[in-house]
Amino acid sequence: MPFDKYSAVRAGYVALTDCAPLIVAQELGFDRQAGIKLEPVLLKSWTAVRDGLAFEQLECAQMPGALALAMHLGISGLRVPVRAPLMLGHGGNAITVSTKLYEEGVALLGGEHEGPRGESGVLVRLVAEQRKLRGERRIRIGAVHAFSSHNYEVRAWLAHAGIDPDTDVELIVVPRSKMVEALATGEIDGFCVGDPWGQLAVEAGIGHIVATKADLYPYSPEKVLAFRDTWVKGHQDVAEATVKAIAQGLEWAGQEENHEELAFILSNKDYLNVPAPILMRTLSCKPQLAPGAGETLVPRYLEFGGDCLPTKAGALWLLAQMRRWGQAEAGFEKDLGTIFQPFTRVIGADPEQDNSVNEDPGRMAFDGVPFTASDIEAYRHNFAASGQS
Amino acid sequence: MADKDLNILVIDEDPGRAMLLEEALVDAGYTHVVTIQSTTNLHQRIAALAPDMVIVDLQNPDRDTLEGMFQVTKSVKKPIAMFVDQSDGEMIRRAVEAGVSAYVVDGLKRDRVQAVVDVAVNRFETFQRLTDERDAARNALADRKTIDRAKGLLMQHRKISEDDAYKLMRGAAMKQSRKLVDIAQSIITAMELDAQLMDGGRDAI
Repeated sequence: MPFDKYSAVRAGYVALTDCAPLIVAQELGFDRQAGIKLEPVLLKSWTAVRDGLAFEQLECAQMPGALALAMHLGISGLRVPVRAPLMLGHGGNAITVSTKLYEEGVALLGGEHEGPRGESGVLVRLVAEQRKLRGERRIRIGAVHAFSSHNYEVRAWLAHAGIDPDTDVELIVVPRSKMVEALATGEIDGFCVGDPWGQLAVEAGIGHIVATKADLYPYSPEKVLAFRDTWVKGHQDVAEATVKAIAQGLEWAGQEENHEELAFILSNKDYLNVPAPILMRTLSCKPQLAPGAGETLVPRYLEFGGDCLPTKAGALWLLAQMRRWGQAEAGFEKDLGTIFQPFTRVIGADPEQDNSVNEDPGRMAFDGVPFTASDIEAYRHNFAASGQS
Repeated sequence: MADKDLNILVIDEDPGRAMLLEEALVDAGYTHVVTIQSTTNLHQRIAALAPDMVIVDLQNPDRDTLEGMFQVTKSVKKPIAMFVDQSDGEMIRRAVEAGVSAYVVDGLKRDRVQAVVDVAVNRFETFQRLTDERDAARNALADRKTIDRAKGLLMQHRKISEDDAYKLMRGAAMKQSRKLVDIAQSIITAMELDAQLMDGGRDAI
């Protein structure tokens, strides 16, 4: 069959390093090999991605796992059943604070923060207390979407340091493309966002990365590849071919020897429009954490490949975060359906094993609260018990 | 009158389209329409305006900010939601295709919402058509310039008449089933390379 007769699959994405699997699937022709024609569509907000998928302008999309779940449950936008059979990698997020806030915090602490990066929220707490005494405006921190791991990560990091993210600071949503500028002008004092934006703030000398997703919840779900469930049911073969092509992109992007080429592809103005050497820091898990500092090895900073099959436990983990931060009512556990279930015929997924609740997305969590997939309400109450609101 | 006293906020990065929409809403009798392009201090402005409806272009990067704000109901006074009612399917589809998204105060009657959305959809469609027409006209003008230039080069280099130069290009286009403008561009590129070689570039090769 000639290529122009292949089924076209429109795939929404935003300019973040973890759009890579989707982009390389198209750039390197993994889509043609799988018998489809992938058409990446760049969008400027997660809301546009969600609506594009809901209103049939897209067949699939890169999405924060939380947003896919919120859409599926009808908590965000139109209620549309979702199937997310693949995760697009692990990690990639960083919490960056302005150089000004960082230096104030260090001065109040009496030296650099030396404990685990997950506990660096203390810097924010000290500055927040000072500002309150002086009657200045609250510290303002940007996140990219209410239903995103970034939001949950920055909230948990603040709460762990004894800060109430809803009253002691001001959390606002800022488009990622304006994040670095907002940090530079002082409109915000910090942000939590996926790379390359954190790296760009450090490169510009205006921000310090104080914690990364790998320091907080290294095994929790990040972006997923989301489809409308009804479309999957009507186009099972095309949907499977799409997952196959993008899974191949994921595997290719995960191989170290491909990183230079990947950085080159993503640096294109049509994709991230960021110099390749900066992207290389993220891809090699060696981000620059402070202006002028060298690269620091942060294991699992951003990983493609490895185990990227979603699990029901992962969906429950995200639901638990929604519960913790008041975004969802109780009792949605029964409505998860098959949202995070891999396609059994692709990449040798074993539904029994891979969709079990035995995988713990909360392992190595920095907050010391064990995740109980079988009882997310108990998990939620444990935060209050340990003083992390 | 009750239908026309809605507080409507239009957020659009394109000033031309924003103006078109504001005019149409005012013409339709809505008297409380505020348009903003810059989204600086969006939070404070929305809190101050307390709009009943927000119309925003679908691709606006600030939509995540808007939704984030509406999540935190206490800071915006009134809860606002995008159309989340499945029964509005047709209205939503038309709006999405036109590139319009809307947020409305919870509880606002459907027909009141529909009337405003209809105006927005019509104006967005009109604006898109005008933009397409303008782009088409620009392209046509650019094409004509390219073709004229290629024609001139052929006349000069081959010492042929304007008519013959045109026939030569048209013949090539038909034979290769390519557009006339593509043939013209190829001729220009080839002639430019030629000129570079004549200019002494030859020594460098």
